[in-house]
Amino acid sequence: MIAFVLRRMAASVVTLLLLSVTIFLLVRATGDPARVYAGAEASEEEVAAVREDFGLDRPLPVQYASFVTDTVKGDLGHSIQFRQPVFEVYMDRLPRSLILATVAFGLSLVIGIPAGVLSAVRPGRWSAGVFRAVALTGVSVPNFVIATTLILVFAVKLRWLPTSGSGSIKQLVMPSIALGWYFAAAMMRLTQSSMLEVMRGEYVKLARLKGVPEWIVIGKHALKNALIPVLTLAGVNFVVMVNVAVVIEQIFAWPGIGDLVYQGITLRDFPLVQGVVLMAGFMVVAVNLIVDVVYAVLDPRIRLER
Amino acid sequence: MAVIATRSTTTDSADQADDEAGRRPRPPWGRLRVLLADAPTGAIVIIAALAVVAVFAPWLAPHDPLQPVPGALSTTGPAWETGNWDSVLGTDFQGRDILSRVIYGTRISLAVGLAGTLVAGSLGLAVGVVAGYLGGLVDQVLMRIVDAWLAIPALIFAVFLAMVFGNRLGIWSIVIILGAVFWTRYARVLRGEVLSLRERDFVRLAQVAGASRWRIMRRHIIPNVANTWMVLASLTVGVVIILEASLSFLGIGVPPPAPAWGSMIAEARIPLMAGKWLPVAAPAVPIALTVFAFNLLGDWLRIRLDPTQRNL
Repeated sequence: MIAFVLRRMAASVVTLLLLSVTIFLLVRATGDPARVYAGAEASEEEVAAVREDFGLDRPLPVQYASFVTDTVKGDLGHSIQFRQPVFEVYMDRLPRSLILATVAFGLSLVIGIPAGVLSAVRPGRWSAGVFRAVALTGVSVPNFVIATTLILVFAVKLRWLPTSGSGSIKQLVMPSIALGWYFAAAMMRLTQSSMLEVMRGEYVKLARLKGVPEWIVIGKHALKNALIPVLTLAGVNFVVMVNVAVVIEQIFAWPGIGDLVYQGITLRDFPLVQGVVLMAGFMVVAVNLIVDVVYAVLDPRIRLER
Repeated sequence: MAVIATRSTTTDSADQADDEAGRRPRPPWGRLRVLLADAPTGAIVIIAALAVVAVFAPWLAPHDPLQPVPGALSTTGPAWETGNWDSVLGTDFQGRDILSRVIYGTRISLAVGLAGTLVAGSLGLAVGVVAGYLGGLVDQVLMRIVDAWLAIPALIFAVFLAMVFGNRLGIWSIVIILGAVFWTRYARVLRGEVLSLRERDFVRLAQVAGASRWRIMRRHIIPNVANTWMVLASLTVGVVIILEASLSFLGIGVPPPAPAWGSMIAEARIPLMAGKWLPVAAPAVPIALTVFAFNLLGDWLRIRLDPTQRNL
C-alpha cells in the first residue's frame, strides 16, 4: 500500500515537472519572454527592466531552476495590473470560484447521475429520449449561449433574477446552471455507459436469479461499481470548474478565478494567466492522485496491479 | 446484433446468408446504402448545408460582412420589425449586415474546426503510434508529457497559448493552438490500441519477415487504428468549434473584424440587455446546430465502427 502511494506520488511529481518544463519552454520558444511578461504596452525600458528583474538574460537551465524553486515556494510571479503576488490575487478570488463550482458541481451530480442510471435501466422509455436530447444539447451548446439565453429569459424578460454580480443566492442561480449544464451532460453520458457495462456483469445476473428485487440490484449491486469511473471524472471536473469559468464569470460579473483570467487577457497581464495555468495543472494532478489513492484503499485489485 | 448472433451460433444460417450473397452480388451503391442505412440523416443534412453555405458564401451573402451596409443605421432590428428587407436580420453595432456575417462565419467555424481537428489528430496519431509501438523509454517519456499536457484544462491552456502566441499567423494561430490543446486525447487513446495491436499475429509475422519498424507502423498499425481515429476526430470537431467560439468570444480567438460566431455573440451582448435577442441568436443557433450535428455524427460513427457495439 505504501509502495503504491509512493509510486503514484513520484509519477505526479514527474507530471508536474514536465508541466513546468512545457510552460517554461513555450513562453521562451515563441518570442521574447521579457516582452511577454512585461505586457504588450510596455516600453523598451520596462522590457529591459523585466529582463533584468526576472533574470531572463541568464542561461536557460539556471532560469528553469529558479522558476521551479520559486513555484514550489508558492511564488508565481507578480501580477502587472494588481501590483501584488499572483498567488495572493489567486487566493483572494478562490473562495468565490469554489462557491460557484460547488453549486454547479452539485447540480451536475444531482441531475447527471440519476438521469444516466434511468436511461441505462429503461432504455426504451420516453424519459431516455428526453435525457439523451438534454445531454446532447448540453455538450453541443456552448456555455456562453446558455448563459445569454438565461439572461434574456430570466433577467431581461421575466425580471426574476439579477443579470450579474455576486453576494446573494439569486445571483448564483444563472451562473451555476450555465456552468453545470455541460458537466451534467457529461456525467449523464458516462453514468449511462458505465451502468450498461456493469449490468452485463455475472454478479448482476446472479443477484437477479437469487430473486433480489430489481431496485436493489440496480441501486446496490450495479450502481456501486458503475460509479467508479463517474466519480473519477467528477473529481477532475470539480477542479476544472473552479478554473475554467472564464466566460461564465465574465458574463455574470462573478469575481472568481475565471474573471481574473479574463482581466489577465484584456490587460495582457501574462504572469497572472501563467499563474492560473500552473495552479489549475497542480490541482488536477493533486486530485488525480487523491482519487487514485482512495480507490487503492477501497479496492485491493487496483493497488495490486503492477 | 441479430445477424451476428445467428452467424456465430448456427453455421447453417451463416451458409445460407453466404449463398444468398453469392447469388445476388451486391452492387457497390448497395453496399454504400447498407453502410449508411442507420446514418443520422439530420446530422448529415445539417453538415452538408453548412458546407454549401461556407463554399458559396460570397454568392449567398447579400452584403460585405466586414463593411457597414451603405446608408444603414447601426443596431437595427430584423426586417419584420423595420420593414427593411435589405438587411433581413438587421445590422450590428457597426451597421454591418448580420445575416452576411453569419453566412461568412460558417467558413471560419468549419475551416478552423476541421483544420484544428486535423492538426490535433495528426500529431496525436504520430505520438500515439510511436509511443505504443516502440514502447520502453520512448513510451514512458511521451506518455508522461501527454499526462502533463492533459492536466491543464483545455480552455485555460488555450488562453495561455493564445497569449504566448498572439495572432502573428492570423487565423492559423488559432488552428495551431487548438491542435496543441487537443492532440493529447488522440495520443492516449491510440497508444492504448497500439499496445494490443503490437501483440497480434500479423504484426509478429511482419516482424519475423524483417519489415522495418516504420513500415510496420505505416502498413500494419496505422490502418488498424484508423477507425478509432475517425471516431475521435468526429467527436473532436464539436469541441474544437466550441473552444474556438469561446476564445473568439473572449477576444483572443479569430482576430476582428472577421465575422467569427463567437465574436458576434460577444458584440451582441449590449443589445441583449435591451431585450434584442436576434443579434445573439443569429450566430448562437448555427454554432449549436453545427456542434450538435458533428456530435450526432460522432456518436453514430462510434457505434458503427466499434465491433462490440455494432448493431447490424
